[in-house]
Amino acid sequence: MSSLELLTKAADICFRFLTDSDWEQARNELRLIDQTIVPTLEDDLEHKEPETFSKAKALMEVLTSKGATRVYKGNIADHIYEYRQWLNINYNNILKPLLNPAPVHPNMAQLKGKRLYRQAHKTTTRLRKLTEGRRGCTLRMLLEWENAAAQFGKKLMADYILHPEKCVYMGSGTPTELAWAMDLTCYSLNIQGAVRAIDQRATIEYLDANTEAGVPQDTCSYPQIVSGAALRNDLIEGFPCAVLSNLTCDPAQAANALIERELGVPTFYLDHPYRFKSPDGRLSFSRQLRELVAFLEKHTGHTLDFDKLKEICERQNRLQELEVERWEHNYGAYPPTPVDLMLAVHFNIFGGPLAGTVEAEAILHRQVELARQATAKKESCVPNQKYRAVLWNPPPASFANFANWIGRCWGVAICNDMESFGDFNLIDTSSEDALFDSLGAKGMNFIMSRHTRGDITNFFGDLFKLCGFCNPDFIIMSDHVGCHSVNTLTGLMNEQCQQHGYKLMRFEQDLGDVRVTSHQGIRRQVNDYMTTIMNATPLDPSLLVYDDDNEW
Amino acid sequence: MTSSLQQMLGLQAHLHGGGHDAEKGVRRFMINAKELPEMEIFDELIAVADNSLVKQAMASGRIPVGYNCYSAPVPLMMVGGLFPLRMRAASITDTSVGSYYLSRIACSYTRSNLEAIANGTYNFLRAYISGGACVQMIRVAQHADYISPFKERIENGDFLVYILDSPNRLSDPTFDLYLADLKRAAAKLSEIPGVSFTDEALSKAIGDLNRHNALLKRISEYRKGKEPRIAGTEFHKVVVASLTCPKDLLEKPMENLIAALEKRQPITGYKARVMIAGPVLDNPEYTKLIEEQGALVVCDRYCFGSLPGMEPIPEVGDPWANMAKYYMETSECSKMMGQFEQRLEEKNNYIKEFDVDGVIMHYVKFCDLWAYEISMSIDRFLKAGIPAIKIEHDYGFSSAGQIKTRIQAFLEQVENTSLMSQWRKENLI
Repeated sequence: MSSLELLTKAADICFRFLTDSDWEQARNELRLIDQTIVPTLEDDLEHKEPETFSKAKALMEVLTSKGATRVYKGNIADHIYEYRQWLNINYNNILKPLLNPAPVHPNMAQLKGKRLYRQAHKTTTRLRKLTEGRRGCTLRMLLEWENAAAQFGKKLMADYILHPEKCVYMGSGTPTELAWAMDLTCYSLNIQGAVRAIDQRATIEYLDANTEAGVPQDTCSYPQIVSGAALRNDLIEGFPCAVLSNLTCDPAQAANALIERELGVPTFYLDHPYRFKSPDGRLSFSRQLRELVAFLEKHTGHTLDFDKLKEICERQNRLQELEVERWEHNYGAYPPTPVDLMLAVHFNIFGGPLAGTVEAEAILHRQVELARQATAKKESCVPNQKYRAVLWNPPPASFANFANWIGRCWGVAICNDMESFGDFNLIDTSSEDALFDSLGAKGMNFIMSRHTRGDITNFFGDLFKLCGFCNPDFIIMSDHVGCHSVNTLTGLMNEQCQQHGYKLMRFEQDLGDVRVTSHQGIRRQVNDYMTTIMNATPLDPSLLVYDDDNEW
Repeated sequence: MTSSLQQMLGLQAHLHGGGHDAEKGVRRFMINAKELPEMEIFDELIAVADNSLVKQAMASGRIPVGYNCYSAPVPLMMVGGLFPLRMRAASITDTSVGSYYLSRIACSYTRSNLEAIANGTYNFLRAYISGGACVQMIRVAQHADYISPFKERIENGDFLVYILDSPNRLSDPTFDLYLADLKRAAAKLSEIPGVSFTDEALSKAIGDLNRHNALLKRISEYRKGKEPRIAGTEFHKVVVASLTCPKDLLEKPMENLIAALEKRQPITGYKARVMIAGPVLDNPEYTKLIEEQGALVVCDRYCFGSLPGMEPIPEVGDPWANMAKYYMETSECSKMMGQFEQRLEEKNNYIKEFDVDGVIMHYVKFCDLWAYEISMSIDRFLKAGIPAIKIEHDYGFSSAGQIKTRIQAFLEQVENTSLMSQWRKENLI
């Protein structure tokens, strides 16, 4: 049996465990496989590369002969690299934790049936969607990120299961740095949204849960994913408290009441002011952060270690500098980082559980290093780049490979996007007051809300600043039909782009619901624009129309 | 017919003095409230934005300030020669400009308001204070900088817009920020020639508002008890007028109305006493539609309603802090995080105070802030045995047929619940 077949069988067992099988029985089966799989994997990874090489080459020849244009990977080295990373992700980060000889913790039981974890076996499909057609440094960036994220997820999961008393539910715009400095572990509620990127239809059950509870469907589907997960009992339970806020938008703020009700634990609310850049707003928010520390101390028994917080914040400052360099590589003629990766890394490091961690620094260092290599080699994330664009508004998250598709079909390289781009606030660690003040400023400058809240110039100012850096052929406006914050700028968006001399592609999508706009529905709108406005010819006509409605 | 069934029918006929007329075997669908000539002035006043009282005030040199939310404290706009007008656009039927700028999937209240701004309805205003409760309303205020006629007037220094940093949470830091921002708004309004903010002037404004609200409360009291004398539609008109006219100039018509209500025969013939709760509702036609089906609207918890807001603002102490505290703590807007239980409790208090039989939660399509609140509230009402229904509608008066049918069905449900409750009390079931 090949390592691939063994791994697939092991993944099957994992899946069964996560759904309905007996844990001990599954683990015994896995152990039997492990005795075979480990040496086979080691052989594949360390000693039998030439054989793997020839296997990959043969595979590519077969695929090419069958006209499978959507599966090409670049060169043979890319194939081998991808194969090795695939094994790493599946074996080291997904399968191996289950083989841990420690006794089964009772909390493991509650993972059964949790949708997010039921998606684990779909990593192969997810990776295929993201890596299709990508090569060189871009491919390496992507796979290294996926691998690192899976490793970090494994670490978080261990705390959720083994030490629930030190875990805290945290919503959008809450300072994870504070939690880490108190030796707490963040359970990011937004992580529920990640299932869309794995399986486009995975969130439908959550949205339906909201409908059943009477929530109108004209409100944003993204917060509905979290509230739906809460309604469906799909959040891990047993943590002592929660921290929520009024970010990223009104629907998210409104959904808090339902989430609080379902979690049933003491909840602290952070109120990000409208004028979040004003001195008054900063002062108010930093005072709220101090209240939050007191709340967390009361409900978790953990105390704030200021030296640790200082260390985390200083690391976060270094991360901000690295991030700016990562962006700058993308402003050049050959943007190396694909926008889906740009956003995934940015979201997790600057707005998610990775904030200020050692792992984040290692990840970003490596990403920047690969970006430098790509820039030196003039290697774009889109091999046959014809157009440059910037993406504004949240991308269609259920269409996880949108950036990959538009690159391969139309040769469009997206340099940066609204969620990733923005001003940075370095954290002043010279004193406790200065730290809280600047940490607050950083927290209020949260992804998405830094553009959609506050003055209207926050939205347009950064858009045209980014356009100045990137010199795009056009702006892509991803109109999320449930976002009233941005939809209410519809007319001004047209007028402002005209006044600044930028072409504007607009397509409608729903952030969390593919029933509203399917992948092909989005592709059709993009195809129409590229054909009629840009007079473009597709690089790969087979990608114009294809049915992926039922794909993960 | 068994004696217990006869007893049941008798009880049914006497519920709220009407409903099913057992003798004639017919149902009455209209509440019995004789029209009052004293109401006519209110009908006229709410028909247009620049009504006769607004014109009268402006003719005497007073300055109108528009606002759009409870979070914008009214006394702030009653200082000196200023007077507040809550912005509504009930007469707008075509929202093409509003839909172009805000998109067709924005809340129709905000689209209608932007349309009203664009077509010059509010060109007589001198300033616009946005409460900042929801992003859609904030966007309307932000558009003032970009679209005519406000754009040109702002450029000429003839118009000003201020968006308040209103809190979403009860806490000391958010209170201090709100207070500081109210003072900034006052400083901005002081840029208008002849307007000057002092503690004394603000205290006087608070006192004036308290007196006006005391009158409003006297009228509201006629909704209570077994013998209500004012219908929900009438009261809704009075409240809308109170929010869209110079308050001092409205006092005389309100006093006349009180005198007329004192002599009026109690309203009978309604099937149930209901509360309407939810976001913005400034078109009394909706209330009328509901009452035409046989309900008596006795309680209103919506934007442009009277609850909360009729209780006096403390007049002793720092007027700025008193005002900020009052508007922060009495807000029952769903934007206030962590306050769902308190809001529900407040609604339950209203239910007891106004002897409410059923709750109509209304929802303006695309309103994000109330999306969850309404479903959660209904869930709790139903669990507590209080009949409740959600009515979804546009801001402009539309979908009358659909609403009518749903209200009729709801009233059947309320009647049945009331009867069952009565029968249980009488040990008939």
